[in-house]
Amino acid sequence: MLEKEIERAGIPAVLVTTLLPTARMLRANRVVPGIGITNPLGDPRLSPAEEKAVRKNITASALEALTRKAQGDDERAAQDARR
Amino acid sequence: MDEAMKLEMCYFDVSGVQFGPTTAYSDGLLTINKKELIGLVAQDKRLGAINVEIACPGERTRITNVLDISEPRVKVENNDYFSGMLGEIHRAGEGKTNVLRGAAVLEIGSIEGFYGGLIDMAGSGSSLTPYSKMHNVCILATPAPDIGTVEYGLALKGAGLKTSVYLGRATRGLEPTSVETFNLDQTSAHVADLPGVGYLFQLHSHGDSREPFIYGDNSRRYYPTILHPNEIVDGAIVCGHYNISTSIKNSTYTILNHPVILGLYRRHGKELNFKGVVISSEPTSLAEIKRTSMMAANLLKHVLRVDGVIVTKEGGGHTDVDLMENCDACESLGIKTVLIDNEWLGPEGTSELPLLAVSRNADAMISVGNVDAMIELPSMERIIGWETMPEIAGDLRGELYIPIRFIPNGISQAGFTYLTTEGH
Amino acid sequence: MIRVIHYLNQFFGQIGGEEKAGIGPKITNSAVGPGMLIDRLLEGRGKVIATVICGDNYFTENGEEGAEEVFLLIPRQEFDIFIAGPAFNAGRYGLACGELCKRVTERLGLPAVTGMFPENPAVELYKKSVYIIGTTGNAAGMSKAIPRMVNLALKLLRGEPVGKPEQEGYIPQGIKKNVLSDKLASERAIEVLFKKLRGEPFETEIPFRGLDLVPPAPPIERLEEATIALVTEGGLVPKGNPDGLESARATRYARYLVKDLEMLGSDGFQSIHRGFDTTFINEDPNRLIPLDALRRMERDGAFKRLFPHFFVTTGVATTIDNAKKIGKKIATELVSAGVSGAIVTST
Repeated sequence: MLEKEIERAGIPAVLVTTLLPTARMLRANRVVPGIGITNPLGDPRLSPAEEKAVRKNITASALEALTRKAQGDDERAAQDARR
Repeated sequence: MDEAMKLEMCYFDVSGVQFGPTTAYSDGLLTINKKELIGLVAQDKRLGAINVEIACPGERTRITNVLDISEPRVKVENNDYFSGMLGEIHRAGEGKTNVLRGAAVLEIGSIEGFYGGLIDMAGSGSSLTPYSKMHNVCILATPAPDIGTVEYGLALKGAGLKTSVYLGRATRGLEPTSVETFNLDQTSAHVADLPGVGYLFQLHSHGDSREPFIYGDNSRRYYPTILHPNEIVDGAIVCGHYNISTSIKNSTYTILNHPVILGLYRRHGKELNFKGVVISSEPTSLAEIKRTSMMAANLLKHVLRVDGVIVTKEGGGHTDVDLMENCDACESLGIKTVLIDNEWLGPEGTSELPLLAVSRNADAMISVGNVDAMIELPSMERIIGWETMPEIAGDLRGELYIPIRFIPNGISQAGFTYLTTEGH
Repeated sequence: MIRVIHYLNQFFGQIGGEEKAGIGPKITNSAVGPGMLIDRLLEGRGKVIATVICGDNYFTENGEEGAEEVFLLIPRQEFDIFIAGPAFNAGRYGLACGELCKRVTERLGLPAVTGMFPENPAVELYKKSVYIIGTTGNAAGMSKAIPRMVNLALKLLRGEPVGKPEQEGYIPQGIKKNVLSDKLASERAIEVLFKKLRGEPFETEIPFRGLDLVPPAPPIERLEEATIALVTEGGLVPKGNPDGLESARATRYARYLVKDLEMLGSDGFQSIHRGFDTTFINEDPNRLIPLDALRRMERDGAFKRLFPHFFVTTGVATTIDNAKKIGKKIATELVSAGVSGAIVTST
């Protein structure tokens, strides 16, 4: 919800969440998968070093998403329909 | 001298249908020479075993494997109909057309890959379809050995249309029950002050056996174009879909009695100025869809000059995209749109997303129901068609629990239905 | 004689307040508190034969075992309808009422009705499987809620078709049923077109609820010159929640300075979000707001500057309206600060 308002104001915003179906349904424009509800950018099962690496990857993906042209809702809908 | 396109529909009301020695119509009763009719249909060697059966309203009869439904009609001028499909091509939409109103001709067939429908003439299922109130002449035809699906489909189509004309000819020389004239020019002086309304008719065009025929040619070969509404209700467009579900195609009967066209026509000159119809195919790539919607909207805006348009689609979720593109293209030119569509809500009716495409401009939608909803049908005494159908388990004579998508016009994307959804 | 079983929490069950929220289930053989309203309504035709009372925390914090333990008290006696609450806006109470009604419906096949304020977080979880009568936010609406709940339950008992939400008073379940209109779809389409052309109000038959579509903002062209801001709906605040940010049903947001921080420490920050287990985030807040990773990337020159504050709100039981308002305010701040892009994290 927040990222849509930020996008609406003209600033690219990427959502990091594990709830991809929801993000898709609510038509968030840029989404990067998070790890879990209780730990979107972390994984307590990993060692601290591994966890930091994972976090770095997700964060890098998020930054990258901000530099890419986002799919508009009509392209996405057409893609959904073709599936 | 400029002659307006004027069509006189001469209705011959049917109150009963029976077999008899001679095919004839008298006082509402249609008699059919079964042997003669079978002989006529059997001329097409692409068909195998052929039979004809009759189903009347109120009978505990279940008609299965229904592929298309048309109406017995004939053009007085040339003794033919369904221009481009049968005989010599002629201009549809003018002259006199005799209609055996209250009767229908059903193509009953089955082959791997074809999806048929099911009509109950009595019981709870009968309220979901208009055909339960008609006298149905059912043409049953199996494929000849080694015949492919496309050829079989064309042969069945020929059988259904030929039968419709054969029966329609029984009205020649007789006085109709009533006559309705369709003439867009015959109207009051102030029609120019009334809002200009058009109809955008999306036609499926996803390949052989999955698209209607326009004057005998496949819909995918057409760019968006303008047809006179008379042409559409006078046989220029015929259903050619066999391998898509009953619920997502418009039967020939529906097109001949198109509720949007007739509804607009009957208000023409009184509440609105019916400017005309644009037909538009439903292509299979987004780029083509965008081109098509742009061109269709251009025709509506700059040639027909409409203020508002009703849009209908044919097909599955894919074509929600076409519907929304057309909506956007029209609204961006200032044309007010109303869209008719069914919903895809799952068997429980709970899906959060009713359609597979959305648009901010689609603020006036008419729902023709949830196509995934399940219905209970009682057992029936008699089956016309085969005892089994693909996708439905068990003996069709018994109680059934099936999705509504099997009922012709149960879901009607052209709006020929009373079904809709209610939020709970 | 219509036999009703009623469920109440510790407060309405007249045992005590929040301090008694941990008590286990009990059952009495008569109406208690609001249950007496049910007795009065059904006078002569029925009554509350048992009231099950349980502490809100006991029900919601003992997992499946706790819920089952409470539920099993219900089928101990034969009954006809089950009424739970109403829970008004109490979240834990709502969860208990919803869960018990669901179990009664699914496992006992008997009518079960509860009542809640539409923004009770339990509504989203149970509205599809349970009839929830819409109530006021607090107990002032008790006298209106109970009769509606009982009437709907009696309708279910009699096997009568349940009408639309507006008629019966329940919160829309988000279920759509096929019905026959008295007008052809084509006729309804023409009528709506007339209204639209005349500029008159009209209704759509297929609303796209909550599907607010936003055209994508243009991407960042040169990341190396960009200012990036961090935003979260995970309720991360400085320890002690100095600004009293709401832990649910947020109406506002806050921003906190991270300018001189290399990472977020567990001693400095906590999550007050009520909607999930905050343990992992409290252990390492960078798992919610990746300050450590971003700071490294800032130093490495991946982008120019990390905005000195992060923005936070709590995304649980937020109304769509409030979520939009909060989002718009945050967006306005970002725009006036010249932020190039935002990373929003969500639980």
